Amino acid sequence: MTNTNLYDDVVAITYDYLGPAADRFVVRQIRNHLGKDPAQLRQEDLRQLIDWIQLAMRLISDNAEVVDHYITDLESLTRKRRS
Amino acid sequence: MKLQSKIFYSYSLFVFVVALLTLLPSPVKATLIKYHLTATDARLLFFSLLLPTFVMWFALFYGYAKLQGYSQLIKTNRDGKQVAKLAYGLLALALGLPLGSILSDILGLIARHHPSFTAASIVIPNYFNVLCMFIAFAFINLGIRGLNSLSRNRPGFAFGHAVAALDIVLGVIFCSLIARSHHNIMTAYHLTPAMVMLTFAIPYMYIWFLGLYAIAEMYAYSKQVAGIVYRKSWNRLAIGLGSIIVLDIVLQYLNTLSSWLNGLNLAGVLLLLYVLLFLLAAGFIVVALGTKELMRIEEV
Repeated sequence: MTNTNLYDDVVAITYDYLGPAADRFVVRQIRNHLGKDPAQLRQEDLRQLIDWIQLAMRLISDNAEVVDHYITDLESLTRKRRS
Repeated sequence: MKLQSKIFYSYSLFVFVVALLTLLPSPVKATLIKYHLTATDARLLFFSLLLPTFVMWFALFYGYAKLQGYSQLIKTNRDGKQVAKLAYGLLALALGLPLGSILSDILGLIARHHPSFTAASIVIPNYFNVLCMFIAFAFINLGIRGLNSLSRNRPGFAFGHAVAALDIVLGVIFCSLIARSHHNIMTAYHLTPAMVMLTFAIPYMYIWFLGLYAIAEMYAYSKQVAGIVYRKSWNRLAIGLGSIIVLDIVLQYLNTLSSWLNGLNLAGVLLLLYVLLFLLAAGFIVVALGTKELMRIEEV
């Protein structure tokens, strides 16, 4: 089952950190690291995607606090979706 | 040919041509007498001014290359088109400064052998500079305005009015200086004060407004755009672009008021030029660094 809402949620959270670059960033992570189209993003992919995003963000920003906050926000999606 | 190679070859060509045009011809006698210099002293002095100029041009071309590279990276997106406009603005500055210098040197050489050409040798480079500044500031203004429209930002009411007031103050001071010094203006521009008002003061006031308003737009964008990390990277780019605009306005102001600068001694003129060239180069380096950070977001 495809889950475009999940992709939208990831982009919405990312927007707070990467602004206009958010959509491009998330699409790139999904395509390059998960080998999928954004529309094919599933709940099971989320953990792996967050790991890749964390790695990428550490290269982009040296502000560990901001990166940790971003990752925590993304992790809230895993909990929300489970419940 | 890759963009970076094109830029490197263009830069090298400009440096070579300007160095030849500045150092090969014998220095103007009036300058030698005024500052009590020998021809060798004058050439050494020109060389000492060429070095920071070339460093500034390098920073300028490097800053443009980085911004153009970033705009290419995001060209399929809406903000990519706006960043491309900013890059075109920097390109107009990058080409305008060396081309203006080459044009001025060539026409100056012609005028030394054909005195009837003196007026044209001053008027043409001056208008060329006005045109380049207009193109550069118009593109920068359009680009940043476009970015603000995409994020639904606008400079605050007070900021917008402060820009208009500052532009009026700059314009009025400029016009009053023109009106006060009738003879100096005729020597500096080879145009009547009325023509200077009409074809320099008014266009410059508009160009300064474009530049100052672009700074207000940039400030609004870097404060209000979404994305903590993106905003931080953009801040550096905005500081670089903003300082370049301010320094260009200062340079234009000093350039148009060259008759007043003639009153300074050699050390004063050199110090002023070195400081301005250094600050301008620093502005372009800051643009390049800011763009590098934005590119990193698009590359990982």
